[in-house]
Amino acid sequence: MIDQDPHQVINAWIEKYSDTFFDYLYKRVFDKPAAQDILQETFIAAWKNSSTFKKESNEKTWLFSILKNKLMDHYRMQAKLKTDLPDNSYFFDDDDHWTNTAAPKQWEEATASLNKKEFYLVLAKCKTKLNHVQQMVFTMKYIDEHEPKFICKVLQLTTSNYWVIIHRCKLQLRQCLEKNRFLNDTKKND
Amino acid sequence: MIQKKMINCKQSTEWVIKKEYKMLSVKENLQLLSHMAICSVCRLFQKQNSLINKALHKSQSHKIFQLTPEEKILLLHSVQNKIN
Repeated sequence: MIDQDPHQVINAWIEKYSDTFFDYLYKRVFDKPAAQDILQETFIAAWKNSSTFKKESNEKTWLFSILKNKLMDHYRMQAKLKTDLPDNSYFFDDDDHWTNTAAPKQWEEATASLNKKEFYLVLAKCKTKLNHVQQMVFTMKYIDEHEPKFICKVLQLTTSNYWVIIHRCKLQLRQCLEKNRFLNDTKKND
Repeated sequence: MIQKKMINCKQSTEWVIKKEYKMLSVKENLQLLSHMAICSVCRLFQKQNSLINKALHKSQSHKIFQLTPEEKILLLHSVQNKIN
């Protein structure tokens, strides 16, 4: 590969894989410039390490494994930026029962919306409202289905903080979906 | 033998999530069940929570984000600059 014209090789990679890869990254880092950076780093590393590519293996799988490593590097860097643990007082009162504003309401046509594209746009938008540690924890658990142990190690979290974060993510995401998707306009008062 | 101690909604919603990992003890499971029996709001949370999990899982197959042709050209140029 190294004796080939880099322009041609990289252009071919971008043509073939950049849509899939960018979508994959965007759903995990929730930030366009960050996703673009990781994609760029992936192709650079791939070109520099093209001697590790074996002819009989699949090019996409090979690139994908480089991309996943770059994504983990990104998570590790992000984990160093500490954020405060969330405060749940918006959701629960002094006795730890639901507050009136945060208590779940019935959702209309909830199951049917799973087949609607619009629903996934709302879901994606709601995910961007989580803070960056929440987003990482959440993505690693619910999108990539990593084990809590692995997630805590990469992000340098204690197990108890992990549960606090996951719990808060779910409360927040549920609330956001309800406000933006499942309640009639007439019921919205903000 | 089993101490009957009622859990609150904060605890119950946290355990609903922990249950996805099968990380509750027998005692905790019973406490969760007895809370669910009397709390319709937490039952609703549990139902919506599993719907959200399904949606999150499904969302992977919906390709929604793409680079524009201009962004692809910029990407090509910046990769080339860095390897030369």
